[in-house]
Amino acid sequence: MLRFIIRRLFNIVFLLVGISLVSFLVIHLSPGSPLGGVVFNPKVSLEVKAKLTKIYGLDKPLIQQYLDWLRRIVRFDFGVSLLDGRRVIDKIKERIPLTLFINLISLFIIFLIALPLGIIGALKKGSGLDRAITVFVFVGFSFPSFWLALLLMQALAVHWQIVPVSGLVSVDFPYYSWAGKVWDLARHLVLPIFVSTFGALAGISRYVREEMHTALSSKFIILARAKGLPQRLILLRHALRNALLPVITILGLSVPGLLGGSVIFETIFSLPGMGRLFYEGVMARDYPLIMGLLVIGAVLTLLGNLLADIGYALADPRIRYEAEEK
Amino acid sequence: MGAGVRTLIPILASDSASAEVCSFIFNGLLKYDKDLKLKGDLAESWEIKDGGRTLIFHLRRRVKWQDGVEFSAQDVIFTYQKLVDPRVPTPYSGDFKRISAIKALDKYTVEVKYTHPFAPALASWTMSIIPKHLLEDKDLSKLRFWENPIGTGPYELVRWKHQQLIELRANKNYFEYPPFIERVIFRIIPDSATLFLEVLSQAVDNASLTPLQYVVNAKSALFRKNFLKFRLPSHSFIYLGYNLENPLFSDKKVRRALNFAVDKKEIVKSIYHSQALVSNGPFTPQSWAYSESLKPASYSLEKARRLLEEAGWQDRDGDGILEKEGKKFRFTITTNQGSFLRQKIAEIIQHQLKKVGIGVDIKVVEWSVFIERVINQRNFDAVLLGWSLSFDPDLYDIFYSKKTAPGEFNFVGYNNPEVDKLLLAGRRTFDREKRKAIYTQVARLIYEDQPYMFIAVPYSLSCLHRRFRGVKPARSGYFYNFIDWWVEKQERKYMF
Repeated sequence: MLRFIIRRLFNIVFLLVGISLVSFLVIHLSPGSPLGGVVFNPKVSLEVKAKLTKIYGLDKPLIQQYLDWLRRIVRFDFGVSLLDGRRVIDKIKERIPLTLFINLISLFIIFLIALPLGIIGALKKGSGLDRAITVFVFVGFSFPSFWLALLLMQALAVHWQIVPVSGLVSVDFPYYSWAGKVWDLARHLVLPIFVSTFGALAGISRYVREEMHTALSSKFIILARAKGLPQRLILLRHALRNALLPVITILGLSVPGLLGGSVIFETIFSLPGMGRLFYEGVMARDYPLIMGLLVIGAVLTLLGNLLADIGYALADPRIRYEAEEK
Repeated sequence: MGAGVRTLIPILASDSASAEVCSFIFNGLLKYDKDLKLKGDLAESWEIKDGGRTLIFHLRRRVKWQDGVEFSAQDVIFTYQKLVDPRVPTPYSGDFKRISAIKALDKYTVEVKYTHPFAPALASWTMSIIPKHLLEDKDLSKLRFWENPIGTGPYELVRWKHQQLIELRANKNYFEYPPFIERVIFRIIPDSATLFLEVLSQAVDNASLTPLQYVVNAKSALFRKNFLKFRLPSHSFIYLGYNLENPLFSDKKVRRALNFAVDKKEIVKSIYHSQALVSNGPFTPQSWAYSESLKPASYSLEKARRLLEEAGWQDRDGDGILEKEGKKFRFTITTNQGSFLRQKIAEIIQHQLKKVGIGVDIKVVEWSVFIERVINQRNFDAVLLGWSLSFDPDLYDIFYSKKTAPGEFNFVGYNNPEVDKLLLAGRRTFDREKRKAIYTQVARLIYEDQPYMFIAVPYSLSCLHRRFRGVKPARSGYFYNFIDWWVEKQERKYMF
């Protein structure tokens, strides 16, 4: 097992260099430049443009720019944003807690609701209850999130004034007591978390439902039934454990997603998350920022895959033995 | 605000959000008053000498930076030095490069010499002055982000939560007098629908509105009970710029025909919900150079058809598209992504030009690519764009015939020797009445030549909570006397 992990980690390093090189080339070769937004102003002369190009180091050959970047990145120096001159790592760091927090909570709630929904759906497949659940989760899936968000804001924030419209905290947040702060934050996050959860129930609950159904109709469950095992044991120990295998994959794949926000969602709720950071970075061609985010994304994706593989190995003895034999 | 503030170093601020917040914290030597006339800010008075080659500013005495250090002529000279320093990434060095010498005659007097008389120079001194004692030993080529900006302005920074909010506090030692409003908080709300809901829930006191919100949504009782709405012509105009090197548009008759064929009133009505004016040339009603006597051409398909025929364009094969010498009249309007209004305007133009037999395709390109590939490489037939101009009416950079290099702003390739001469004269003339006469002539000639089809001047629309007192809307808007505003005690929402 240990050798398996070490070998995978070794591969990851090579993959990362490759990914960074390809990303670097792609974003630099794509048309547009970081000066685009700054300089479309008649007061900005040609000299100024030349000056800015030089200051940003954009006049050097591309491969030189990449090597400069690589030299810095191995020392964990992500460079400075071209947009506002702040360190890339600071810009990313201040966005991570919010995005991670919302995503973790949403993920937790999604599983909390979707697992039972899926299991019930599988047990009572075809019944009225199953159909009702199906309709419910697909309504959530089909609602455009921005529209749902605006409707909820209109009703809950403007009409009934139960929650605030958008933002992360109130403007007078620093003057609240500790409990007041928690309450304020919670009030602000109710809508965003509800919207992000509601839309994602369908995926997970469908997976669980299908896998659970397959598991329940497989031969070893019939055997377990024939042995006279109690229903609870059959469900939780035998069927669910098998049904959860693909779900582990999904969990692993959602690790990079934990740090990837959604532009539309964050824009609607005025939340300063990773999605907007990345979107604004791309729009402004803020190369150091884009590269920083891509590298972090790549590391997380690769680690997520590794975790999923380890999770598999733990849950499925066949995979575990195969890995050890090699 | 829609976008986050990038920097609070005013000479580096190129985005509108940064500039807006900076204007609360810093002062220039001069500022625009409620009627958009230049008046003293950090300078008490100024003199223009040598026919405009020398400007002398007499600074206010006993002005303190927000950290208590006294403001002096050295700060002005320092600001100038940073503006022209090749290592400082400021977009504003252009106007200051024309200065040949600057010196402090005494602690409160600055003399600035120019190589040639340069009328826009005066307006360039509205640039915010930065503190020498704090930034002298900082490397502005690296430091573009300054956590604790210190200015001379009516407000000082309390906290700055990136992409969320900026909180300012009244400067008790402000040189005029301390503002009555104790705190100003700028929130960043990128979505306009969300912003309007924030307004309705009264979590926001001042916000800009879209035309639709201004006309329709603001009718609700909830809105009217709590808010006043404001409307003012913006300092910008929307235009269709032709590539004058393209043989389709080299004939002035054709350009004039296109102008007759597009009904701008229709655009104003359907796209802007009537919250815009039909543009009559390169100046907006907000500019002192604007001349009411210039009337935009009225919509006339007949005149358009006749001009096109005179120019040799006829539909000979009956397919509904005009031809000349075997070539069809078909062109592409390129505009930038992210502006829903512009895409809609392009569609209306497409529809209207079809009536006179001109085929139009529309291409929408992402902004950064648009600038680099479309504008700078002059790779377009016609572009639908807008100009937001500074208050000084100098149009040299946009219409002077030699400003056509890639990255310069006469990208349509306009060339009229008479306009060139007037533009140069306009830069040398300090007398406002004489300058106005020059620019009226410029506007007339340009409108006749139609290098752009001038379309509309949108209104800037906004709303303000009713509990603010002392608000006196004027030509420049209603923020010019912000330090005089107050809120009655029983209506105060936040207590500090």
